[in-house]
Amino acid sequence: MSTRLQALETALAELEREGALSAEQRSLVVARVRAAWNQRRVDFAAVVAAFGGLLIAAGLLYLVAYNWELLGKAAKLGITFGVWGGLHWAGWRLTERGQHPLVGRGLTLAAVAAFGGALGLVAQIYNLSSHYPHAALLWWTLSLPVAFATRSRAVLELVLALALVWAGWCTGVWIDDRPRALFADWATNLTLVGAALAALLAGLVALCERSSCAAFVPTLRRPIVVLAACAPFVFAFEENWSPTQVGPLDAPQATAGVLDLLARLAPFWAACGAAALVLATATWRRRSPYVAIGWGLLAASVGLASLALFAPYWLPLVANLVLFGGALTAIALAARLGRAPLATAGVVLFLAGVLARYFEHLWDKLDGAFAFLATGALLLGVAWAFERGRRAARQELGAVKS
Amino acid sequence: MNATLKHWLAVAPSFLAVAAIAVRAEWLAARAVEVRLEVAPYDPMDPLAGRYIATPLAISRLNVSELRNASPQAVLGDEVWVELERATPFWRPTALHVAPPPDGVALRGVVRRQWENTWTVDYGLERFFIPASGADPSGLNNVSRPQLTALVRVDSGGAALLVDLLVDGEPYAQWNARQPRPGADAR
Repeated sequence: MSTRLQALETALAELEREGALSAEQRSLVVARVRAAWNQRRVDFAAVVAAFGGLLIAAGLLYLVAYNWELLGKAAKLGITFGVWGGLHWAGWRLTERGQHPLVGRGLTLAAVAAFGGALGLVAQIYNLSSHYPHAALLWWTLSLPVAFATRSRAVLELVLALALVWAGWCTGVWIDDRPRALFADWATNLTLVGAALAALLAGLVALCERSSCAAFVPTLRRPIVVLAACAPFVFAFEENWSPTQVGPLDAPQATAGVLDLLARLAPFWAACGAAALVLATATWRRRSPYVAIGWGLLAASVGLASLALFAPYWLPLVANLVLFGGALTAIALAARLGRAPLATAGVVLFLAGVLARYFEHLWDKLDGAFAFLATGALLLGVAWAFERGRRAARQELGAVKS
Repeated sequence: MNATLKHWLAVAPSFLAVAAIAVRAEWLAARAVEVRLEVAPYDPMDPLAGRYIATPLAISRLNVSELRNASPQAVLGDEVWVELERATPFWRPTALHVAPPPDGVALRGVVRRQWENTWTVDYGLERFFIPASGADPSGLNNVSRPQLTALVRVDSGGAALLVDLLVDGEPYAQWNARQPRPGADAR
């Protein structure tokens, strides 16, 4: 049992001894708290089953990657469809019968991962290749119905990871195809696509809340802060926007028309379109703070994109304001929504911003040795502050107990 | 709808997609016109699909001024059809179209680079998969560099499939079977 839960139950027992609570009231509170705790805690068996499923899938992919010399085309296809279908069947059977639902879900997860192996094997047999990652697109879009049918969060996590990898991969191929792609093209497109996808996920969270897909909300919510923070974090470095890195972005009128400039962020505008569509649907169908969060993220990312295109030298200053403002907003939202992990994310974001600015600005002004000394002292100071805070919390807990 | 039906309806599209890819490839391999194209290879690895010979075709880089329809209205990312004419030892490009030509053999591709008259066209035929222990015919590890030929099937719409890789005129599997295996002498 968790130490926090133990402390709470001890406090309730003491209150009962002191006469502040009746025995019935105490057992009611304990039962309710335990139920809430069990809902939130990570199920060890589920994690082990998911890892087992993923290892089976990885083993299958590994076998596929090593092109079996001795097998004919029909045998390879037969084995692939057989193993893949068998995993789906076993997963469904064990889940439906209710005897081993966690192992069943693990096998379904393996089957979804094996879909990628099947695509890879068919590509291998017929020597198929594509410029854009169409296989990844097929993999995640056609696995989405499985996530909905099984209501499995693990499957949704895999689908979400594949979708994000696909989006980044497509963006990379698009930038690579551009003649004379600069660092700024990579930095702006990849990070801003991430920010637009964060807005899209916020819209999906709003749509899933209080619906039959409510179980997916934590999975969809988790990557939002990280995806949203990438753009302001990268843009906040002044060095990234020096004339050598930015190139012709600094003189838009002289080098290109407005439409040509906007075209430099085509993947971002595409991601914005998708996010706007989802957010508009969410605005129409649901009242949720995540709708406002999504629109806010989208507006901030469009603002940063406009600055990157038309006034890149202002970008670091504004990005810093967005970064620290975003961290404070996350902490304020955490208090409003009652979500402690969001507050932690806000604090981590703030700390990351402070450390980044510290290293960025002090490194140039100090000799290497002084920089190392100062960095070491800073880290020691941070550790000391954490330890002091922890000791104060323990003392407070001790005072409550006594 | 009962849970069983719902589950299998959710799973079915992924199986149908993989089956459709295989059926289409089989159809191309059985029915389409066979052409032979020159290859300029190298030997990388795909984390999902395994080891392959990269088979960039000589006709991927086109000097459009040497082709009929020298200035077609195509920009980066557009689909084009490269008309081919039988020649020895390789088929050669003769014309560039922005729509499938009514007759003749034409490969469908996408324009990836345009530099004056030199265009790079991607036909999706750039990988020939080989066994992990298979011999590498790309010539990078050998003193002699064998002549590689892509054996391709092309249908009337320009869709193509890389059916085999000929090493000095011999199918890859046959050529590979004759190559000495590492460690064979020791046994």
